[in-house]
Amino acid sequence: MLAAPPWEDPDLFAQQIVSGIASGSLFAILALAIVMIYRSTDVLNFGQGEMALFAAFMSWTFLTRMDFWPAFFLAILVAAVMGAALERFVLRPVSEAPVLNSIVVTLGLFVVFNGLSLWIWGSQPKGYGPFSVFKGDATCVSDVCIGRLNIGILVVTLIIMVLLYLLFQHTRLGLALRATAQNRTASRLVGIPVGNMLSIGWGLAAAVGAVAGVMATQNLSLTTGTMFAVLLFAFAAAVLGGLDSPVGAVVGGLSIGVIKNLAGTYVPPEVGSVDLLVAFLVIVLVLMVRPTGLFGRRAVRRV
Amino acid sequence: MSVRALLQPRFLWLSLLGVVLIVFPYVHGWPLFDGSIRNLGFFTLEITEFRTFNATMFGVWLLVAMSMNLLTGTSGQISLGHAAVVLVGAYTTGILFDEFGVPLALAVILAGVFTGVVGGLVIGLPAARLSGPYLAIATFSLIITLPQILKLNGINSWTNGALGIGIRPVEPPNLVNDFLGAVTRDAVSLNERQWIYYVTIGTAVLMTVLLWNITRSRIGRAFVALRDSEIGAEQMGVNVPLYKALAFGISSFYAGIGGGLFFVVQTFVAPESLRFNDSILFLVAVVIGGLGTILGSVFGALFLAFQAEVISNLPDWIPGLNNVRDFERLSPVIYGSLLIATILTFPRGLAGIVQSLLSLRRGGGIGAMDLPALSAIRGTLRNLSASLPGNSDADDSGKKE
Repeated sequence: MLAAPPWEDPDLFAQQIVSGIASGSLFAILALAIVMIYRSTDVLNFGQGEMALFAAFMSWTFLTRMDFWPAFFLAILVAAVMGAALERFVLRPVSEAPVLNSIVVTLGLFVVFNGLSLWIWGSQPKGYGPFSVFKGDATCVSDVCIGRLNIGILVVTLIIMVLLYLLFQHTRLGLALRATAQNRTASRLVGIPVGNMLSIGWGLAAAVGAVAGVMATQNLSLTTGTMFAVLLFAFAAAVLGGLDSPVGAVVGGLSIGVIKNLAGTYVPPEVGSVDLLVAFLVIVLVLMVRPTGLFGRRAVRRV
Repeated sequence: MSVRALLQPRFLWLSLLGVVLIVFPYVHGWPLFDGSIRNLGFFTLEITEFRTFNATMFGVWLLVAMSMNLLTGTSGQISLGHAAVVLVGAYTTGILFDEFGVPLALAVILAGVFTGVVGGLVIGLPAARLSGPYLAIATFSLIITLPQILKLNGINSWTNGALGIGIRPVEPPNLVNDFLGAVTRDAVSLNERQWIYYVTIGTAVLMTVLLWNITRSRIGRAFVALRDSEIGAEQMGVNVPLYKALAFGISSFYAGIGGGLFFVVQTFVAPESLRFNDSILFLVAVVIGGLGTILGSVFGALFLAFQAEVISNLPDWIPGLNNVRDFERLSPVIYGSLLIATILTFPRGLAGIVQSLLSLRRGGGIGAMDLPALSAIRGTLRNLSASLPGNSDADDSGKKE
């Protein structure tokens, strides 16, 4: 059964775009976390998805003891402390070593967090369903609808972006963080505690990732395999937007969400499921045609 | 070869290893190794028939580990999708055999050539433009996506979708058993397990010798130059894109042969036979074994062949672990931590430690022992003391940019 083309069924098309943006905002948050770490420490964190997963599982445990919002913020807080500690004790020792070493370490984090989640919470899916704030009727304009949960995710994404923007552009801490990302030696010379800034950067990214994790589990059921695909989409988003551009991460995330939904609708079902394949093709295409992505800068290095 | 060369210790050790490899599938029937020693109240020395299969898988993993190590250890190119290349090798063998009736041995070789060419051209050439993190993302996306590609309906007639491809165990050719029977007066004949053992180990040994020669040739030196500094290598006249493609090509050739044998030994392959976790496991293996050396690949293959068994047996050996629930689920945590710990303390892995010990025995003295662990421990202690309150100034001044 082939879906009707956009010019015959514009509502279906519009619906897919809207849902795509909603699901894409999740990828945008996780991509944002990846980009933040990559920008400030030159480390590509493959453990990001699993750290987010771990935080989501923690929030599930907290939820059995308290309301949604306390559980949400507690999980984020714990994730942030964990992220900062990881930077301090695991990543910093390899900061002077070749890129390979730091990638290998984050891969280690990936398996450790995935394994820990499986060990602590088991293989049974943990669904806590949409929390009551996100329940309720969908909002519809003519025939195009958007669920409360999707609105919620979008709003949360917007809030995170605004908060990060304010932090980075309008506080002394943000200034120090940006300086550290740009030139560590110079930052050290003007008295910025560079080590602490790196830890704070990781903590912030882990917190942002945790938000993505908790939000992702609002409509997916929570298993240890949940984050594999989400991480792939987040990487596709980060690559599409440019690995060192936060704006790019968000634009990339939303685009990937839309592309994924459109492919899911308009690729004939006889082909089989293609959602991962689409992300893969986006990554390959961008890397072949324009490795810096839409908003990234080309790195020029002095030998 | 002169008599003197034959008496070299290295040659003697290698011949001993060869003899062990040749007799291994029969050891389980010998009086010393069948568990009778345990019955006498001594330690357990029991080699079951199942060990032949274990050793066969070791041969397969050796090919995979060498492939990974050539790419990552020798040439400095990271690949998180290595399990994907192995899986493609397995599938190619299966499809050639199942759909096109190609003899299995030829199918394995063709699978190696196929993955080699594809790996060199499709991954290697674009990889010439990509630096570490981008390459990692590209190969990561490959391994995550491959199961979905293999399940696409369009190629279902070849891949059997989610069901995968299976074959019956390979029987030894009549020629071989007739010959063995004639020579030994029917005392020795090979069963399926023993036959595939000899084929796999034979292939692995051959390809090890080949790799040994490659790494010592002009090509191998170019790979090392590429790893140490791409720009430096270019200045020395190394054609960087060509050699990057070559590194991926040769590595994928090894992975493809390994994948083909994986399929033949396991007699089965499905889209999820090898996943991202296996890719990481390969990386763990070569990092723990030792990056950039063949000895490291051998250690890595041992790790791949035995890690699951060792980890599941840990609670029997270490008393306190008995109380840990679902202990086997912790295995990724264990090898993940091992990976991080190795990179932080012994970046050259087990092979590096062995080499350091050997150089110590040759009289190099403790100074010749390059043990990063010592300096790493010292560095960590310094960092820790610096991070204590009141010492915050020392935190940054102790590190160089």
